[in-house]
Amino acid sequence: MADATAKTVTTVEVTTAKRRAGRLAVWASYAILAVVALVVVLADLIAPYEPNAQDLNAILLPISGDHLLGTDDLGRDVLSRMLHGTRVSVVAAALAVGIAVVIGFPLGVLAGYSGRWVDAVVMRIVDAVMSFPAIVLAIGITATMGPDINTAMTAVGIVLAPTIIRLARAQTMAVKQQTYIEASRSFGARGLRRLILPHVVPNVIQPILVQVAILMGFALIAEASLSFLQLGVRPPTASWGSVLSRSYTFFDQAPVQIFVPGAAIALTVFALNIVGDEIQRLLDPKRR
Amino acid sequence: MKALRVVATSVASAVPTLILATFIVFFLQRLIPGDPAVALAGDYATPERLAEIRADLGLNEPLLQQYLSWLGGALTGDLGQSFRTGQPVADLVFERLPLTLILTGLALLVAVAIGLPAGVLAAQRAESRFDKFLTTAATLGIAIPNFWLGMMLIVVFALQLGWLPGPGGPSLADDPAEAMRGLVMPAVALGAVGAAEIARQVRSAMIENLSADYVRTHRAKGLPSRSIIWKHALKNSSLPFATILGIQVSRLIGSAVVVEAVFGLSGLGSLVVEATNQRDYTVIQAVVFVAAALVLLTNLIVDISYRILDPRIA
Amino acid sequence: MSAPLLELRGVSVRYPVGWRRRLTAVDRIDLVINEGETLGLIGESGSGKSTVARAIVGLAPVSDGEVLWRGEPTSGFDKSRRREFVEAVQMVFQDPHSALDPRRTILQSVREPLDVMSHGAKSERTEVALKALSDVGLPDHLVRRYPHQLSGGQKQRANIARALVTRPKVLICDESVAALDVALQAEILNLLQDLKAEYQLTIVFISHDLSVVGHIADRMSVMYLGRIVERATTESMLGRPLHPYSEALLSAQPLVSGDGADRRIILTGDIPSPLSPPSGCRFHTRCPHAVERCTAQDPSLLEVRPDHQSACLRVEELYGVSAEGSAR
Ligand SMILES: Nc1ncnc2c1ncn2[C@@H]1O[C@H](COP(=O)(O)OP(=O)(O)OP(=O)(O)O)[C@@H](O)[C@H]1O
Ligand SMILES: [Mg+2]
Repeated sequence: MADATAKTVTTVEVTTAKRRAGRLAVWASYAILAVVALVVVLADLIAPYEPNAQDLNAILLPISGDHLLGTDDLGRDVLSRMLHGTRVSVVAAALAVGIAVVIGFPLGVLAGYSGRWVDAVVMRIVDAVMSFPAIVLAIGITATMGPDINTAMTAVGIVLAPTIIRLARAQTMAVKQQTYIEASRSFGARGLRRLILPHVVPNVIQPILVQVAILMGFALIAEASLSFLQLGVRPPTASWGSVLSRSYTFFDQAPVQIFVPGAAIALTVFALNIVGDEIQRLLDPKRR
Repeated sequence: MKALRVVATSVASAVPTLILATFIVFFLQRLIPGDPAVALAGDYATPERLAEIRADLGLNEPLLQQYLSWLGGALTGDLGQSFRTGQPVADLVFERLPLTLILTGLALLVAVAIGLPAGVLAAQRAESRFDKFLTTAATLGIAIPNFWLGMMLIVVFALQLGWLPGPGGPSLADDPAEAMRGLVMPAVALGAVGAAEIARQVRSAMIENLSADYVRTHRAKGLPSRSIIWKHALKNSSLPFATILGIQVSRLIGSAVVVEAVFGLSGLGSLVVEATNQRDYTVIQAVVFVAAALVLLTNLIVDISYRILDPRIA
Repeated sequence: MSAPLLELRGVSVRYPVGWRRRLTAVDRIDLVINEGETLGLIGESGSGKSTVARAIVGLAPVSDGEVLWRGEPTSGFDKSRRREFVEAVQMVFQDPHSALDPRRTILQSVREPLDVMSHGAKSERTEVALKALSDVGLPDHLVRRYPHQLSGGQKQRANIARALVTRPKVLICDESVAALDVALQAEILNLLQDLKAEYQLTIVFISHDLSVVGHIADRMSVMYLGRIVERATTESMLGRPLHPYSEALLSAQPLVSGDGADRRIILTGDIPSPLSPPSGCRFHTRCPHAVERCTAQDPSLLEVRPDHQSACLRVEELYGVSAEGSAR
């Protein structure tokens, strides 16, 4: 009894300490994501130049008032390409995560809810997909089907689906044990409409949201990797990955230009992870 | 005798996953747009030539038959011929494999050497300022694309400072010493991100163990807290640590593919990039297969060590 | 004489566990529930009380025997009879905290039985649910809250309201007060008494706590390891238990035990696993009076006094009463 009390006290202390110290990172992360979201929406309005407009009289210009991030080897304004690329990258990552959720969530709930052989089969497939290094399988699929950003992101979605399946399954199995499920069954609630949609899904979905934030980060890095390997967006389309990839071909002449897209990716992924942790903390029922 | 049985059980339980994984690799062939024979022979091949290729590849046989003969070949080290050069794919792969393995091994070393102590120290001082800093740094580390980190290292250490060789150094066979020097930056680029992941995972595994009842009992008995941490919590974290290592190997192999391309290293990564540009489907397939085989092998080793470390599972 | 409202005849519940093993949670039990009475079902944790309740409402698989509703086997019910039965027999679940879906409001949860059975129009359902909620004394302003915003007692009231919306004949209350503190226990017990009168309920009250059951039940059955070991009117049972297990349960209750105080039996050890129940009398491993015979012979439930049945082989030696012919 005394032990239980002591434990509660420490948890409370820890939470408040964490709250104060972690605040800065959390607010910074919200700010970063807000900026990214704004850029996604307003890229056309705020970009000073056409992202694909070449000016061969102005190649590889350094940072200046006219070109805040300089120009690339074709004389394109790097800032404009970064702003437009933000939209392309974020939409691509969202596509991948969307596919992962659309495949993974129903399968995970199905496996967790039905158990037995359905579960066994689904989990074997999950194990098999997870035995590939995610990026290698995505490369394999994209390289075989032909380089294209939608193909690449579908492939990334497929390799991310097992993560969602596992989570949804574990959560469903936990929810299935709850008395409120049994209570609903006792007065005849069965199946998708009366049991799974109203009771299972809402109780499974929250941890998935946290995972979605984290997987968005992974998908952004995957987009950059695949575009760097020429498997993602096709020129001249700008994305964070393609800007980075292009800059790397003349890195000795304009090193700053490889710094910017990478930093954009790193900061966004960082913010997604921090916000993911924060959502998790906010959703923790013990807080209520 | 017991060890043998443990190995046998582990292998047996890995078989279904292995079979499914080979199925996925085989299935990659099916994703080739259009007719693989046309892809191979080009658009202007005569119908006779196409028929010949189809017969060669066994494309006329039932799918299961195709799969079985492909699997039979793959398991005996025959991964088919290159679409382009006609060379045995296995030769190409095994020529490139050592470099990827060395790079992954070095990166794992870096990752563990930094990540393990960092995670333990953070757990020991959980919720302290040091822990805060480390956790945030680790989160940032995870967020950094490692191939970009590689580029930044090149800019700083090769371009600006000139301390280490940039991309395009000699191969391992030509000049081993110089080639190893060339592996320092890629290994650090890969390992740094791995270290961040390991630090986070070790930290949470340790914290879980530190709050476990037996540690509290030991504290109550008055054992100094340091010996508790090192002796008990660390020992009990060995199982999660095996899992963490297993995950890392898979991650590192994947990332190595991209990092190799940055540093112009001729490992599996560059092989798959070249194969992509030349639409050399059998090579792509072989690289995916070998990568999965490496991960499955790692998982098997982790599984066996689990069964040996934890008597409850065996 | 007409058939009892609800009856269990030789009901067994077996769960598959692991590979080809089965756990017998309830072993061929008989139970009669007459209209208008309150039946107490008591026993230690793991004795199978909840499983009996779940078997009645169709949540546990009945492997042997029959559940009869007004004399008719429920297994033979068609869809509409089944629905009538479900409406008539409602259950209040053991854990008030997890029995309500955390993502639905109290009103939504309470209305759910009507929604599932598509009772009347939507607005009518809400009316009925609100009426039930006010009958259980849950303040109006709480009905649109979520479970975590309610106290334990309030949640339990909501659970009871949910069981009442279909206007049931039988209410099965599984440990309805165990999770609450003593003051709240009394409150909920009083509420159940009031509801019983208002809704003309028959109540099956499940508890591990004899003193609680003693307050509310007309008759009681004592369960041990999936069997009923003693059955009597509350008066007869509390006055003079005729089975060592009931005696032990009773002597653990300082408030209730009367003349049994001089013969305290302290139960030692845990209830054995139902996976491999002891041979003979299942209680012999913990019974202070067990003799050789008890390990071999499986006692049956026999009438030893009017309205009082016991399943003890030594009932005559220990209590000076004899089994006159078999009960049933
Ligand atoms: N779904 C199930 N699968 C396997 N075993 C079960 C299942 N449900 C119950 N049991 C077992 O059946 C036995 C009786 O359980 P039951 O819940 O009926 O006991 P109880 O008398 O209600 O106990 P408590 O007072 O703890 O609620 C226990 O040994 C339990 O482990
Ligand atoms: Mg129970």
